[in-house]
Amino acid sequence: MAEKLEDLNLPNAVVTRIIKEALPDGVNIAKEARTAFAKSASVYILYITSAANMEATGNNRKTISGQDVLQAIGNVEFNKFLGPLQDVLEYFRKMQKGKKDATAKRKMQKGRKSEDQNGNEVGDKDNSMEAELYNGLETSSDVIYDSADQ
Amino acid sequence: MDESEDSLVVNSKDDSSGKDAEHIQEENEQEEEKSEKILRLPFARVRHIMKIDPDVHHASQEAVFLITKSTELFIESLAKEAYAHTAQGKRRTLQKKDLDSAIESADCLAFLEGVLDT
Repeated sequence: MAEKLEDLNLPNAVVTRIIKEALPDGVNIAKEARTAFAKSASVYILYITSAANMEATGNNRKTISGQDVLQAIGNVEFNKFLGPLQDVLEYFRKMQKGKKDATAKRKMQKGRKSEDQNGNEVGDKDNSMEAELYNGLETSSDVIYDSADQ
Repeated sequence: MDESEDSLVVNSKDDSSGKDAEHIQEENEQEEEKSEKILRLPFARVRHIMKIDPDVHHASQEAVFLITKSTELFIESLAKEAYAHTAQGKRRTLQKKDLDSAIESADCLAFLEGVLDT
């Protein structure tokens, strides 16, 4: 198990950046601490995944849903994450919808069918979604940031 | 979490018409300081880690997205918890022992007990 964790650590640079932005200016992070943070984050992922999987299984489902994840996060007492997660989930859903609409439009125009039986576009779905997630939501023209209710 | 708003800011449509160059540059700099992206951690790597669990069969994209985002929030939260101990020790460098202290003192971090001992 330890070997696998080392192979699948999250990128140190990104983890460090997240830490630095959460802390006051001028705070340094020891090298040993950076590795420890990355490892903790990986363990957190496994922890939440397991908890979310239990939720799914408890509902007789094999696929972990977003709701299972939210439920699991509440179960393990990280309730403070739920508010921000709900906000960001809305944007994610809008982005997904925008992408689906754009894909459907494109297909109609081309008149070509390249979908699997579920109507999903076959191919690098995840990679293009990742690109959108990291580049913001410019592709969805109707998404406007409105101040969340705090 | 008071700072969470900044990291969730989305780059709204750029409406730079009618503004002079200086103003635009200032805005761009401000935007660069704020995180424009929805996610910082790599989605695919998170999914890869999730699959280590032999009981996990499938996870929806929404699920992976939420886990990725919550991991970012977790790192922030852990950093702040650890830093409380750094400050207590009147240090400017956050050390591993600060993480150890945080794990010991916070109930919700109990799942990390023993993990950092190598």
